Amino acid sequence: MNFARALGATLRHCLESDPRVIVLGEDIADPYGGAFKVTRGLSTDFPGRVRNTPVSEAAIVGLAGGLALSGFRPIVEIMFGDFLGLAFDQILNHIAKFQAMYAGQVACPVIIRTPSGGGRSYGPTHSQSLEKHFLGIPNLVVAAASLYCWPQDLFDRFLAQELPVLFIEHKLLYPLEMRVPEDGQLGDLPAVMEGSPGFPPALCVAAVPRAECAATVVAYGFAAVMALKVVESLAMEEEIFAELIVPIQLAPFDYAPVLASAARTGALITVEESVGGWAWGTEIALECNRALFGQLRRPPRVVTSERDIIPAARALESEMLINENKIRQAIRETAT
Amino acid sequence: MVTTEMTASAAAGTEAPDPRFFGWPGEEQDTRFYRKMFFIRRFEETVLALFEERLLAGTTHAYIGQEADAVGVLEHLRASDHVFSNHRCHGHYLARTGDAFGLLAEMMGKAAGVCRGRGGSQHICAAGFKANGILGGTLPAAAGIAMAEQLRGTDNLSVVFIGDGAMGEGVVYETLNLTALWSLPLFVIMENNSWAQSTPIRMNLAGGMVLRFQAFGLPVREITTTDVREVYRVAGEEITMGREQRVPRVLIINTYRLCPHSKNDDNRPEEEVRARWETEPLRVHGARLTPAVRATVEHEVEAALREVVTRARNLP
Amino acid sequence: MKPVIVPTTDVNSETGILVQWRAENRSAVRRGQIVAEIETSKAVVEVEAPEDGWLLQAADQGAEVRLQEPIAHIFPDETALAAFAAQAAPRPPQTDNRPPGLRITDKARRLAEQHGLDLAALDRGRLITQKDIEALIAKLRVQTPADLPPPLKAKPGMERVVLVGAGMGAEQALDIMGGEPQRQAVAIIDDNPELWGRTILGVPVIGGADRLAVLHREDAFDSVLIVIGGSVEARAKFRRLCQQRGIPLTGNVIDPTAKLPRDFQIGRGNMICGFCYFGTGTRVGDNNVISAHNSFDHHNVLGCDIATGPGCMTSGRVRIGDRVRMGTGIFIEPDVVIGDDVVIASGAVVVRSIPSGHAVKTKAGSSVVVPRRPGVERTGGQS
Repeated sequence: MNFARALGATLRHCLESDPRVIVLGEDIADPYGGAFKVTRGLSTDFPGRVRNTPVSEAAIVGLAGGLALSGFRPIVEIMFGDFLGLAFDQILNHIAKFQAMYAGQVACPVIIRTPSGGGRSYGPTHSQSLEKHFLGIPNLVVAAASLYCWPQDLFDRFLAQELPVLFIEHKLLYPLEMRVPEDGQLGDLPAVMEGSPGFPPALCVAAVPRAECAATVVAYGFAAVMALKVVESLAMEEEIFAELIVPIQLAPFDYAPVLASAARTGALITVEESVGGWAWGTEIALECNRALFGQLRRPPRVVTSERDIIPAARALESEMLINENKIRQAIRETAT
Repeated sequence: MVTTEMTASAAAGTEAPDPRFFGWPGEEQDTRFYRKMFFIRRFEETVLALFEERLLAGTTHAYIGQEADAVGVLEHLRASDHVFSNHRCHGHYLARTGDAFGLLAEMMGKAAGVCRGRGGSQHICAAGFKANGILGGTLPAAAGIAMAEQLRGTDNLSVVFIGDGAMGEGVVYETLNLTALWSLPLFVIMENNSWAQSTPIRMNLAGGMVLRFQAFGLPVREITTTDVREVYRVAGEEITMGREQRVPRVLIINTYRLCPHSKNDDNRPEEEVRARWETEPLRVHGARLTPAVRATVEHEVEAALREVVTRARNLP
Repeated sequence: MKPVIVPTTDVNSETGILVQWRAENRSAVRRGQIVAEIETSKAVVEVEAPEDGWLLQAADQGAEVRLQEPIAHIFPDETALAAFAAQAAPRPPQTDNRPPGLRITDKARRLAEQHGLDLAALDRGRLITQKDIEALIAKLRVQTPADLPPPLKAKPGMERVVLVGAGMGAEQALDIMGGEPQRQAVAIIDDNPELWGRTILGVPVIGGADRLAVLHREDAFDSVLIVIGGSVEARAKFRRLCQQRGIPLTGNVIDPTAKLPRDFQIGRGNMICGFCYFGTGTRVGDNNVISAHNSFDHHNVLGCDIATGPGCMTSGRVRIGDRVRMGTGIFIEPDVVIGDDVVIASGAVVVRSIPSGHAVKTKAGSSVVVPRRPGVERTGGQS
């Protein structure tokens, strides 16, 4: 089952099992079924609860805020993550603030889900990874979809909590088959899920036992898929052994698995597709540096795309974005 | 960070309204209207004085001159309706809940405040009432609350107060479009006091005010009045219509703000302001009461307010 | 509800392939009715419904299923079935995970190949690295010629043969070779270190493949005979290894009771056991092991690295490819062509040609042809 289908099945499960769930978005209704076909079939089977909206990101996100204040559980699709800017005020000054500034009298548990990321030559305003701009908003959960975790587990968790969530789905994940670890294995590789209470667990995977790894790599979304390939090939081809940690929740962040790993390996590499500078990895690198000062062999390495627009031309886009080679080079330089 | 202790003591600031502010059982409607408007007026004047005294810090946006709007409209609402107000929310809050103590304590930043000191003057929440300080940004949430009532099949209304300044924000138009499209039971009251902070309306808004709502096919009524009876009558018709037909309604009240936008920032022409004091709502409606009744009401409100202020001053 | 589980007696696999559903999903079935066919490494097994009821399938046709898990459930009525189906999670039972094969880094693989190490002996539970291979080499080096017996001394003029594989095949070969005037087995090698130092019919097991390399450099023997019985892949691999190193295969080891035609064409390194028959015009390649009482009728062509069990019989003009493994008592009709890498289960009657990479399985009373899955069909001697 590929990720898009798993996500569609998850939304279906949410609508079936929780009468408070409402799904809103642009062009999500049948027969179109969403720009990435995730919501196909839902508006037919749940009439009135899965609705197309006009092209008004601010209003639909704000409206979802009102629904959430009234006890519903809205799930809003922003068609491309690049459009989050249009809804920024409603997220920042309304949805993420209601519970705290009203001293806990209300909750505003909106789930905003959005396809994001580049690699399809969609150009500068349809390829960005803008989650980094939301990491600084207190009382907002920012999470990223993963091939290695069933989306249903995540949405069950979101619906059980009472916090607003921004859920980032890298668009290149949609056609890929889900790969969930089973019996301590992800394919050939030993893999475990680890996390502190209150956080969705992170995947920890390596080609060799963790004690033998020389580097900790932390990546999410599609960058995690690339990082896994790199970790595997570095093991096979160069006998450079790294442990990959794939967290779901980007903020607030569960440092425990990363610190435990970096304490063992002595080297940290973070990977994300966001443009460089003031990135997600920067915060993790700092915390690692602070907690493990003196135990790291090298300064932590934060891998990001270049600090520029994402060009539409395929060749220019691949130069600008992170790729397996850049990840490989970063790990090679930091691990050895 | 939201803590469980906050959630547990939700609505810590609200208490049962003092009848000296909110009206005695069986009281005549006209008397009650005057009482509530006078209560709001005196509360706002007191608050401004307390700022001068440095007992209050931060900013506030007083409602002086517009009391007829809040009282006339909110008199029609039930507990199960919802009111969303804006930065200038005290009048709406006091007309809805009568909670002078909770509001004052909140503005003083005390734990006994209605939001335990976290929201302050512009960010107020109680049962059936919320306010936020981003101009126009309250409209989508209010529309969402209206949608919730629609989904539940009730005839509750979601009422939202905006001002003329808010009509500069894009999200307002997005929300009006959505509200009309989905026929949400939202009652929009646009208190047009002709001044957005320091800018007169003619320098802010091109085209017509009424046309802005009509463009979305929304039924809109416009009144120009400071008479609470007039506001009460027209609002009543709109609210009845909205409830019976479960449709959105818009009421534009052309009114006037007699006080500065926040504190000491008033550069409007003095003659203009002075003229408006002649037709301000308390004057208009107060004339309808007998002097004796009026004096009794004012006396009761002042006494009750003094008690509130004393109590608030003595908070830890 | 009652689970439907594949009967696991006489089956040594953990998973099978659901070849075919014989009852429709959500249909009524009777106790004892055959509902599915599951292919295991041994055979295709028919699965019966354990009781009357309504059947809800739990796997798709063609899917790999775990034999400990139910492939279906039987419900007492349609309502119960619908209720169960509605609350089942929307995720499929299978993921990408297969039991791990050998995982080895490039550096480790290169080093192992350099030293001629048999990777089959390595631990499959973890990634094999260069360090692991170095450790293995060191361990093998510890058991130096000083510890292990030398090859036997041969009389002058004798061809000195080293047998590869210290199993039953070695015994059989030595039995046939005993008393030959010009050829003598001087040593046996095997990659299982536990067998080193033993003797089989007086011939010592003196080490593993790397000992062979050493002996070859020292010119201690003349040729090899590969007598590994179990795996035709291993036979082929060893033959390639010898070819790469320039180590010749001996001539053929043929039991005196075998009947060969006058125009027989045969390669090298073959072992032909007692009472075999080869008809006229037959041709045989290299490195084959033909068990007793095999009969190849006229104009048969056999490839290389084949291993047969006793009692196999072919008709005329049959062709058998490379690395074919045949069980016991197989009958092959005339003009049949068996491709490369085919496995034929005992008792099969092969009436038509078999494409490469396929297996002939026996079902009770009949044979079924399915594509092979690598590593599944055991080509060991025991069945």
